[in-house]
Amino acid sequence: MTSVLPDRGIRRSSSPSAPGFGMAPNALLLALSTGGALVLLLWWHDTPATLHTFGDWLTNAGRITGLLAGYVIIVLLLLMARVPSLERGLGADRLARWHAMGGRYAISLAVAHTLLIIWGYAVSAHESVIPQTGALLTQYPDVMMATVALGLLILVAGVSMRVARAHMRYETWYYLHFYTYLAVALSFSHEFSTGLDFSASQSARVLWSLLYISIAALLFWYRFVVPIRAAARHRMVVAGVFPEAPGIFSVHVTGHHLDDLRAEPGQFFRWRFLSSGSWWQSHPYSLSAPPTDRLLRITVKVLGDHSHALRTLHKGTRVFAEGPYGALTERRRTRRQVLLLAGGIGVTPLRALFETLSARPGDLTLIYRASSELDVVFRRELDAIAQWRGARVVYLVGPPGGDADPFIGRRLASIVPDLVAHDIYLCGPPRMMDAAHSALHRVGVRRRQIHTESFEF
Amino acid sequence: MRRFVSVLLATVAGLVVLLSFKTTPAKAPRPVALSGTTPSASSTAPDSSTPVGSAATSSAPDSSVPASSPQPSSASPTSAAVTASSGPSSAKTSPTATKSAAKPTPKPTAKPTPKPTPKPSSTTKTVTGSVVTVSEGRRVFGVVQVRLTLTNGKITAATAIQFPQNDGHSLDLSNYSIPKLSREVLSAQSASIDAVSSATYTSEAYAQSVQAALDAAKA
Repeated sequence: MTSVLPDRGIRRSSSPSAPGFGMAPNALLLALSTGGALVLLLWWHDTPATLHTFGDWLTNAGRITGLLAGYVIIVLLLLMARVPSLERGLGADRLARWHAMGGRYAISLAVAHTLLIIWGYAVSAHESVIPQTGALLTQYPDVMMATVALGLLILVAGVSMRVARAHMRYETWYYLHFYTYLAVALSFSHEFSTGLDFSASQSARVLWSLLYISIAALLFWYRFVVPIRAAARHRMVVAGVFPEAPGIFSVHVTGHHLDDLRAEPGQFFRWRFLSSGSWWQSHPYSLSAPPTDRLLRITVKVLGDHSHALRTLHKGTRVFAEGPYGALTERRRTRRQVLLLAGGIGVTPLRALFETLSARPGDLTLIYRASSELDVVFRRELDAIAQWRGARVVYLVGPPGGDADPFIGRRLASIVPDLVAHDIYLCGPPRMMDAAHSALHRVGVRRRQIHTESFEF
Repeated sequence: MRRFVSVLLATVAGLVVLLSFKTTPAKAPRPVALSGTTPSASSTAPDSSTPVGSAATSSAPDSSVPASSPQPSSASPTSAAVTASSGPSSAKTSPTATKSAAKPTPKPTAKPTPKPTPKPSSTTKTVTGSVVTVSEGRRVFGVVQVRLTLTNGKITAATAIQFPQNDGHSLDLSNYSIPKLSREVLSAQSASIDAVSSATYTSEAYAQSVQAALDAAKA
């Protein structure tokens, strides 16, 4: 997988919207499918056409699902490696969706692999399933470790389910995910020691190891080395914390060479504030104003322990920022007219875009949806930008389902004339995004006209 | 979620298609009387030149339990090294079967060098067959080597002194198939035996090693 480092030493090019290469989603899908096909080819190559018992079928189905599970898991790690070209090309929301989908798939494969192998071995050895399970655990090299790995994967999958997630702190959920790395490590050795495709072929072993090693290297590089180097170069600190509304506040961050970051309006960073309460966790927050070479601004709503702790940040607190990430930028634009559709605190990236998206007077509209007047932030800024740019800003404040809810019937189309000719940038809480998607669909907006970013965890 | 279900279904369908391509119609137990073209025969043990492989023929008055050399080491499934002794077996040595099978004799190195020690009364002879690799394509599961005990020219015991155990699954299959193969040899009194289902390669290799032992006994 080619990855393009944001070349930090080079001056920003004159065009603000060309920083680096973004991997097209379809190209990536093609590459990943090719990899999957190669994995199947490995099995195909190693297996003569002589299966004829039921046990053969089960065992081979188990081998294939096992190989695929190993492959899908490594792909998931790649998607989470914060490789800039992937983050840019796919966007955080698509990455998250792929990750969720791939995660479910990997778990299903791993479970299927386990059951099929037990069953298949039991059938061909003419034993029953339970002693065969015992034999697999105790007599086959490294299978016990792999079983622990499977348990960890199931644990991670369990806490990621919507039901469990609702009852869990973000931090708990987030850190449980690190067990995935442990699971991958624990399951690796049984692939070689008992996997027929690998125990027979040196070159398969080498290639497979290279795959794992290179993903590990990418993870190490982009999740450790790059952030640390960036921290050393930019030396970011908190410049101030300013309340915007009840429970909502902005954090201003200053540092050196911020223009080297080549952050764009609409993008986000993963922020880590080195204060006593929050140094050990990082969270994604969008830039709520166009970045300058002196200042980055984020705006945070108090939702969890972490955002609460941020409110008490002191001026001068050191900041690690990973990024910029996200593809909700001008480059998604395909049309002249643009509608920015904000829900609650989701206004932050759209606030930055509202100021910078190139548009002639009348081409740019911001609909700001909030359930109460207290949730509306930046009103003065937005009004000023609207006036200065000849853009339109519409505040729709009220509970969902009320008079101010634009997602009922075809209301959106009456608020924004010629809606189907617009690019739509959408950001807000999950339920609002769902409502917006179906409302847009009703009035005939195509899916690819809609650009979204969601930070739902 | 619906998309996920369809992905799962597509995976299952893909699995079935892949496996179907690799499936040969299930036959009744194939006779494995050495055809010479079996995959295992083509890859006659590379280590057949090793001391173990160069079939040793010893003559001992009463050696029904051999195998001081490579003994199966695994904990529970040691039962694989089965010594089955024949009861009043019906079949006599069938030279025809032997002859037809003898054509594709194992490589010269694997040929046993027999030292028959005839004794007037009851001769019990132990002959060790060649080491035959059990493989499927390029995958090697292990080797088979069979030691036969002949009393007055009749096979009275067939012991696998080596059998596939490169991985746990092979070991399971050996546990399951070797005793059956041993019984088959005793009843057939030759190397023309039926393959044990799920263990075709082991069966073929087993028959080949038995044949080599029989050849050694006759020479």
